[in-house]
Amino acid sequence: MNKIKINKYLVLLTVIFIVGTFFRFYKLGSIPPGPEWDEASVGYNAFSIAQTGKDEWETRFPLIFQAFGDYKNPLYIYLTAIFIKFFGLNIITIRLTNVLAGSLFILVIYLIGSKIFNKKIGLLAILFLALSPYGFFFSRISGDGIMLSSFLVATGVLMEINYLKSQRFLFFLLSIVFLMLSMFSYNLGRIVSPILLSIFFLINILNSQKLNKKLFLIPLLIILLAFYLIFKQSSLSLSSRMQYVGIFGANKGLALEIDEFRGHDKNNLKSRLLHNKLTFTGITLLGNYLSHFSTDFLLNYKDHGNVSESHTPLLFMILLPFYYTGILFGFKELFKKSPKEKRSQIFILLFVLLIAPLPSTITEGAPSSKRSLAMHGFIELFTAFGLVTTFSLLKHKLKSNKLIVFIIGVLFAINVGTFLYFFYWIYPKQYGYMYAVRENKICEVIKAKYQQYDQFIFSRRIDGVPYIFPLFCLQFPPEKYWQTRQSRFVDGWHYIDAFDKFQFVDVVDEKIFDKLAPNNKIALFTNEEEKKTILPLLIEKKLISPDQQLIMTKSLINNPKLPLYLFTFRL
Amino acid sequence: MKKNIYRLIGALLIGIVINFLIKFVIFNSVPNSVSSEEIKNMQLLGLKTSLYSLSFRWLPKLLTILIILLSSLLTYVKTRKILLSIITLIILSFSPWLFILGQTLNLHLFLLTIIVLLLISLCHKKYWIFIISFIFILFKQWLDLKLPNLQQIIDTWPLVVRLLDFKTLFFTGDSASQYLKIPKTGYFLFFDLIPLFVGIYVLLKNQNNRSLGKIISGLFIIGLCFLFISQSSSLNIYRGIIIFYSVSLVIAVGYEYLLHNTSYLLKALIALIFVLNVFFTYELFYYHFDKKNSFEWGYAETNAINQLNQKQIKCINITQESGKLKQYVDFFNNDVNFKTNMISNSKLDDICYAKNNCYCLLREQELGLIGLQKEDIETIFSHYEGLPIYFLIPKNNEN
Repeated sequence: MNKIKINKYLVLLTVIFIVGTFFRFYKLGSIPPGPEWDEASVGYNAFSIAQTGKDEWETRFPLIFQAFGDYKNPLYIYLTAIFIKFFGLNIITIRLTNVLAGSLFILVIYLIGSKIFNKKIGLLAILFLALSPYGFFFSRISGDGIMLSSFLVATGVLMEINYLKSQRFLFFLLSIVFLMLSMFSYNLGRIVSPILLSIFFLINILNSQKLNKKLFLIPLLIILLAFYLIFKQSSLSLSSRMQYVGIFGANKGLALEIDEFRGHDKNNLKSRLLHNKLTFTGITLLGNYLSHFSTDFLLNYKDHGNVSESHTPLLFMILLPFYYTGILFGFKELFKKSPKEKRSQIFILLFVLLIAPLPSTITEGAPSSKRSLAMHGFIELFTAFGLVTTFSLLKHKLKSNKLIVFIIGVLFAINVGTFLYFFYWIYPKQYGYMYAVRENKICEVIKAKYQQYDQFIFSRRIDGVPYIFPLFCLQFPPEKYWQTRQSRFVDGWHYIDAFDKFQFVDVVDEKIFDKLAPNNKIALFTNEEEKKTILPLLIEKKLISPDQQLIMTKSLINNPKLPLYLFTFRL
Repeated sequence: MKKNIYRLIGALLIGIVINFLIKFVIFNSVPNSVSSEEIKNMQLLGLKTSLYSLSFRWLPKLLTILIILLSSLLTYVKTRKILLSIITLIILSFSPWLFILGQTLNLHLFLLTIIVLLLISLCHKKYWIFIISFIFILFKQWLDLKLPNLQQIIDTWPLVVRLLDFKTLFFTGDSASQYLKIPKTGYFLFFDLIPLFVGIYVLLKNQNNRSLGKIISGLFIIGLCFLFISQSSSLNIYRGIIIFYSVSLVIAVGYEYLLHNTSYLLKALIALIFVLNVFFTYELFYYHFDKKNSFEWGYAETNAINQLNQKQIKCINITQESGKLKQYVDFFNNDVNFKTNMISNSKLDDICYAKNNCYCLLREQELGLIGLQKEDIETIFSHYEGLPIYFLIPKNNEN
């Protein structure tokens, strides 16, 4: 009987894992469309590493990738380089690391759920996780190693739970390694992992019978090494990144708001006491933090207009009440007279859920689904726990328990069905334009006509970092790129003005004719505004005929929001 | 029992005095000008007032005090808890959403007053929820209520979700109702968040609060329906008025539980945090409310009328673009010493430049039409923060 039961769970686990993995891989190359800017950058840097061992800025195996000047974390790029080495550079290989992490996440959450609660809760949690819109979205984009980082955090938690159960030192060591790796995958790991590590140390010391030197020394060495590497990275990147996205800083909304309020009061003492960084930052941080547990964020009806923010709910509406009850019951468990080990494990789960929003809390535009992805998996665990506990409490009070379960099941199926329809049919059409649609169209043209033209020109009005797309789609040899590159470094950002046949200008206007060599065959891409400037000039200089004019003034993209024009001529 | 009633009467009397002090003395002059929405409401109610008097706001203030007293009475009638009744009185007196509504003339406060009046008289009847729902039919025309179709329900749902968001309720308020909110504050005080959770827990767990719980949940459902049937163009603070009221009652239950079941030290701490929170919030109201949203509070318009009166100008041409000023001038015509003519943009050059016998008041975008730059203009009327809005062009002979 027991054997049959185990097999039943195993079968269900396998089915859910396969379904979750299938949906994460299905149409991976086209939904979401792309590559978008960060994906192209990650892809080309990984390609460059796979080809030469150097990144696009010729640094050999860097600890952090400069990329556009935004300093990308290394782990995702190195893992992607391995896939590129074997399968080449394309949109699927650059998304593969995240999608694998997203799929394996299902197993990790099952193991955590079944160890802390029971197999039923573990299975329910991964059912919600496998079909989670939050997980779907972030498993399928690769601009950063967000899903990878979140997966590593969850695996670190699993290892710590294993350690608490078995007291085998290896698990604690693995927990540290995974958490440390998450710090090199995405910035959320740099905030969540050190806090988790500190609390794991504390719990392990409190739980150990006698003080074990091993418990301190080896982990300490690993942590020191990791922090040394982070310190080396940080001197380059973290402070500038924080200035860019954080809420703190002289020109940020918060500082300006304080100035405004003090201005109303002529900067008197009362105003300085009430309207200062402490009060305003405190209120903002508290509001930001709590918003991660609120309906607006979890159901997510916002239209972000951002490729790296989820347009789908974090949790299905029908599951929302059970998520809240799950947290409530979780706290209740802490105060129950259960074994210390069990309480420690539930405390860890709650702790992860409560600190996961911190990376998003300290940034502008909070709550951000991307920066709070460490909540992923734990939301589903508490939802499953809440659902099961609620029903076990109501078992004797409700007459038609099965009917309620059936209704919830049907509503869940409707939620899932609606989401799948949205994600695979509506989303690419409605939001496809956000995924560098013009840049990818230019790429198509360049790929097809690279040999036919002597110069390709387009401006930063079409795209702020135009150079990365030809590099990506032509799989441009890194050495050749370094030799022909003309670049500038302004305000912390790299500007590429030209390489090989490509020229990138701030704006397409009459001055571009100075940059063109005689007798060259030119392909010039413009947006609507630039078209209005350049078309009369081309006609005046008799570079295009009236017949050509008709063809060339037709947009290459069938989207009135993002017109793109190609003018071809010979000087 | 009798002792409790005396206590309740005492508390209500003190509540009346405190509310009068707060609303009619301390905060009587905030906001210090009239919003364009208030002008519309006064026209609807047939009220007439002077530019220099804010007495038309006595009506919403009195209604708010009535709502607070009746709510306090309601919680006592339903629970027989004197402490809860007093706390309800305090919570509603300092809840930012109700305070703001009481400081401005709006029609939704009438609706809430009638609902609370009905609640107190019908709370022992099982059908109270239907009677109160019936009120919407009476207010249908006035508040422009309409039965929604499926698409409107789908469109309104995200609003409901956003309105019930912790950040919106306690920290930021709704961005769509900016001018009717205390800056840096939500619909409730920050600290009210904890009592809200406690209140929900108590209402679910505690049998003694069942009957109050039923009223609160009934009100919440009515509030949700009201959200769906009210116009999407209406401000969210109005659309959520019944929901906010029910949430306030939950918060009061939470405070009562906290104060009843904690040590003296914790009680003192809760009281201290509450007082600090109130002080912080109402300082923001007193000094920053109408300055932060000076555009909506007609700062520039009021200022323009005052200054033009002082300049003893006889007539002014106003363009369509300056329609808001025209609205103020027409409504406060008893306080306006000049005549106004509406002119169209096509005649600007002719009337305001070539042979103008009247002053002209233009917006920035219209200056270019008569070949002027904003730097050429001496008299400019601006919003509080200094953003120029109206430019005064002198008469020809004064050029």
